[in-house]
Amino acid sequence: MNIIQALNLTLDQQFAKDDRLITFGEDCGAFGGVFRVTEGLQKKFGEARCFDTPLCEQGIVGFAIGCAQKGLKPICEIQFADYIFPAFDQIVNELAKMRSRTGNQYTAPVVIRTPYGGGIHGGYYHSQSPEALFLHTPGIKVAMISSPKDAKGLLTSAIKSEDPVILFEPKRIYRAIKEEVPEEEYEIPFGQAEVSRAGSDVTLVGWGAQHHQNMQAAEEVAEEYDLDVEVINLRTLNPLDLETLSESVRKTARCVVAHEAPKTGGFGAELSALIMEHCFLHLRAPVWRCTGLDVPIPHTLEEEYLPDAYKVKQALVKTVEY
Amino acid sequence: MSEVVTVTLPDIGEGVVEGEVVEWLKSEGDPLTQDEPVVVVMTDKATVELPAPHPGILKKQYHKPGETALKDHPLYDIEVKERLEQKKQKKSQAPAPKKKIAKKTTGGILATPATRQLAKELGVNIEKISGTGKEGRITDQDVILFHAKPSKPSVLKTPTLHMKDDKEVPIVGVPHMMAEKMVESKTVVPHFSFFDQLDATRLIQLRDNVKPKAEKEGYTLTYMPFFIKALSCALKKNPNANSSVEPDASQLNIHQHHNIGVASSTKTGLVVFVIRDVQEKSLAQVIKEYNQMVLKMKEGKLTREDMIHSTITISNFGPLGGRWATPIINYPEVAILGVAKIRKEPIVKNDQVTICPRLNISWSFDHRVIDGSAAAKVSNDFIAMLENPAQIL
Amino acid sequence: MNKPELAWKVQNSSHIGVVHPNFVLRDKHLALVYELRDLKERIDRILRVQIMAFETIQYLNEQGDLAKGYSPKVADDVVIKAYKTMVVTRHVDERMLTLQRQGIITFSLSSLGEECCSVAAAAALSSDDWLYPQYREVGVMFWRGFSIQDFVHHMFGNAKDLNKGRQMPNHFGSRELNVVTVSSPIATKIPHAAGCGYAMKLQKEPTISAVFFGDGATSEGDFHAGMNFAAVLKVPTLFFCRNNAYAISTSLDHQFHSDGIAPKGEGYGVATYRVDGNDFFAVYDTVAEARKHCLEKGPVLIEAMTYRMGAHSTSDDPTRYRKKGEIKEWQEKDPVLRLRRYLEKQGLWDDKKEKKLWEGVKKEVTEAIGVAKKTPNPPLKTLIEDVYCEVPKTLQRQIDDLKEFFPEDPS
Repeated sequence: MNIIQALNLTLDQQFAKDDRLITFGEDCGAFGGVFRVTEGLQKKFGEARCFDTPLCEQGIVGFAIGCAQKGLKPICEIQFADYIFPAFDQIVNELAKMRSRTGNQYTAPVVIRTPYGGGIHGGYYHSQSPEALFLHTPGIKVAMISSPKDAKGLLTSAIKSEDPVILFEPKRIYRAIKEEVPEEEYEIPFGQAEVSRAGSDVTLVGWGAQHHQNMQAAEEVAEEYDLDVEVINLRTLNPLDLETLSESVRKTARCVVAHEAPKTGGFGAELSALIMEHCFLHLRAPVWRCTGLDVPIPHTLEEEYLPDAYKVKQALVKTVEY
Repeated sequence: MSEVVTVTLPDIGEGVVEGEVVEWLKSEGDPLTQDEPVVVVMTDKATVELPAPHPGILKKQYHKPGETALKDHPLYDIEVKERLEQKKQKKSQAPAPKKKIAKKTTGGILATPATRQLAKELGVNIEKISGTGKEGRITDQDVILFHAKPSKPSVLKTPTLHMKDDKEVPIVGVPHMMAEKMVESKTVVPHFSFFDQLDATRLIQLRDNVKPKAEKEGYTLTYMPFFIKALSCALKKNPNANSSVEPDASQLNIHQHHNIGVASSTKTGLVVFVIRDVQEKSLAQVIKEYNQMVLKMKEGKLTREDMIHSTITISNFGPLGGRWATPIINYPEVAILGVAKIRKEPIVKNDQVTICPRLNISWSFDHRVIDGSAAAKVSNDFIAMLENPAQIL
Repeated sequence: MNKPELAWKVQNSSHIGVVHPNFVLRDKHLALVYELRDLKERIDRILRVQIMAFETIQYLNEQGDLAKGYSPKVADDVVIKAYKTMVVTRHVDERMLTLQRQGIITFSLSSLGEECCSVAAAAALSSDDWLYPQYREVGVMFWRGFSIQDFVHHMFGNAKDLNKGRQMPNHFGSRELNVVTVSSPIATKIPHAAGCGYAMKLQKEPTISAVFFGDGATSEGDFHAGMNFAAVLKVPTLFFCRNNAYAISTSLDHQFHSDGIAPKGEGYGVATYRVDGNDFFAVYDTVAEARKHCLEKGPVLIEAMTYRMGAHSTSDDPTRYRKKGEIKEWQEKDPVLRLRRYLEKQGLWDDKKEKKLWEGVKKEVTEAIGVAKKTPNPPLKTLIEDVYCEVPKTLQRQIDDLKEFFPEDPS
């Protein structure tokens, strides 16, 4: 099954197990969501648990916070990550701080699901990758799905989390990747990265849809240059699996971080700083970030903007030749 | 038991650091009850009445109306009747532990963190290593080779002779280093010698012509600057003689810079100072620089920069006498030129015996780089320059 | 075709400036209004006529006299408890202001002049109802039994503060008392209350959520979001707006161009009432009625007309923007004074009782301040707790680094 189906299956299974779960967002009720992730849920579990909200992102998140405070488990959808910004105040000032500002008297374990990323000719407003903004906010966990298996595991963990989670779903590969997804419940623990390809010459780090570009680049440089690349899929950015990452870089002495989001202030910058702190004496080259440009992601020149496998390859070679 | 408490201007809020005293609601000597308003202060944000934190008598007002009071500075004194309860201890930051910070000056040295760590582990001072990597970077190999280096020649089987009444003089510092360098040079480089002699007539004439001018500018004019410049001209036609060989003889690095070292004898031993880039300097410049260096050397003020990176060396044993010598190459160079004193000698010219000032030159070459014909060529070119010295001006 | 005569349309002057409308609804008129509301929906559909009945409901006037024909629906002891709670609220606020001006606490904010809004509302609601205050409703805490000592600990932000010293003073809250802790951003709690109400509905609990906010909050997007969601999803949530004439220095005519806040409720299709916020009985009765409506039908908006007698907070100086004499006008309409006059006229209160009450409160506050002064700061480890449900390794590392600088901290 693909990512959509994996998410839908997970929701279906979890809804049946726990009647505290509710889900809502724009067009999420009868219509099943513009990407069909909540399809069938309203029919099966009722409008009270799966419904359409007015067109108001700050309302979606604010409302979800109240539901969660009172003991429901809301999984709200922001139709595109590009539209999360009206909810930014609710996320940063209320959701992220609820437990600490109330001295642990009130908590708001909300799951916010949102499709992110480019590659579908969405232009400025259907392609953004705003994860870095939330990583700079203590109190929220951030997970990045990259495959159907990951989707189920991460969504399940998010649902069971007692902390608020933003789950970013890579829209460009929503349907493109199909794989076997176990029927039974399983969780991918937050803070556990995956070393998808073991290697010894250079560490390549990514998440979401970028992970697949990274894997492709790794295979190609193995063929063309006999380079052995270790590819890491972080899966969750907060909490971050720093151990796996540093262990890898200490072994390879070189690192490339790839992400779609613009370069400046992107999460690659944070990873770069962490690697410098923890692996400094082992480094043979600076950590190279292969990312989108510091421009809004364009419609027509999208390919030129995105850090595709080709660009990642160049970055790998450059780092090894440093 | 009464006590005087100084009330400071409190933090009224949100970054306010000062306030103007507008009005004293109580005068000096007035009794104050707990929380009674004492003074009106105006800040950027608000005009506020400040209440007394303790009951007592207002003893002293520190500011008149219109004056500005500063936050945490005295505003007024209260004489209180009872001992006040201890204020909550303020957090005190621990003073930073005084550690001696060993300042390291390894800036300007190009090496990756991994290479630096390797050097540290091997106990090698990375500053001593010259890098062979990209842009002069020190590579791991440089570190390892440097570490492996003091390759003591394994030929030392014969023990040194010690006799009963020997005078034991320690060899330390520069002489010791020079001794080791010479052993190294002779061990690594297959030396071969080449001797020749040139007619110094025109050289002497040229020097005599140039001398007054030079002396007017304060320079002592010896023949050395002429030898230096002439050698550089010869090197232009014989670039291989201005090079270095890789230790495994896999590569010859031909240097574009003619950094000509001049070996001189000093109190502390043999010293080589370097005149750099002679290929682009005029004779006049060489004369000037040579003099400066000699002066520095005599005053003992030569710096490391003055003495490193020579690409070929000249040794003048002239003043002390002698005709021929076999100088030891200043490794890692590939050639060294020894010059003797100019002497008048009888020579045969046009089947006639005449007297002519002659200069003996003694070359040593690295035979891996310079063979017999190459040696002859460079020597002939050098001689040609000095026998027609107008070319070297 | 001529437009039908808007026979039912009743409009009065808005609460711009400090003029109270003269028309006062009596009991029987209120019943009529309620009936009309039910008819309204049907008439709206047929005639497309809007019935706007935003008269200000008042039962107790400034002299402490009840409206003719009105009899209280609340027992005397409840009224007396309410009076005492309002006095406690007022005095505690005053003492906290003094502490701030002495530099002993960092900030304070009072509900001077608006004590009735919070106390009467809390009195009419059930203790199981979840309250979402903005910050000018500390009366709800004292009504529900929060001790003065605990409140003073909170104002000091010390180790006994329920918020563990994380927020500024006056950001009260208590899980035990079902009062959701205050946060500084304006209006953010409005959609929370809607969500909470929705959860209660789903959980089939006979409770409601009630959110309090000022006139300024209704300009925020969150007000719109919360009201709209509540209306569409028919949540049992009470939206209680204290229209107190100022948002810091911004007067109403700079805040909106509508006839106060009440028409906004109509705009969302939310049942709306306007009451005299300084009248205990008007607030009590209307909130009680609203609570019933919430449980049976859906959300309610109450606009309580009142006045902020004090400054916005200790960082504010209202003399810079208020007209001279404005406060004096409102002092006559003071809710505490009004209720006291009523109680005295009813023979339920006298000077002796008044003196005893004030002395008792003063003493309790003084003692509480003494204890709070001696209570230490929260321990260093609270810096990294509660950000997540478990302390992550990264934060543990960060605090270990910090301990170098604060070695004498016991934690």
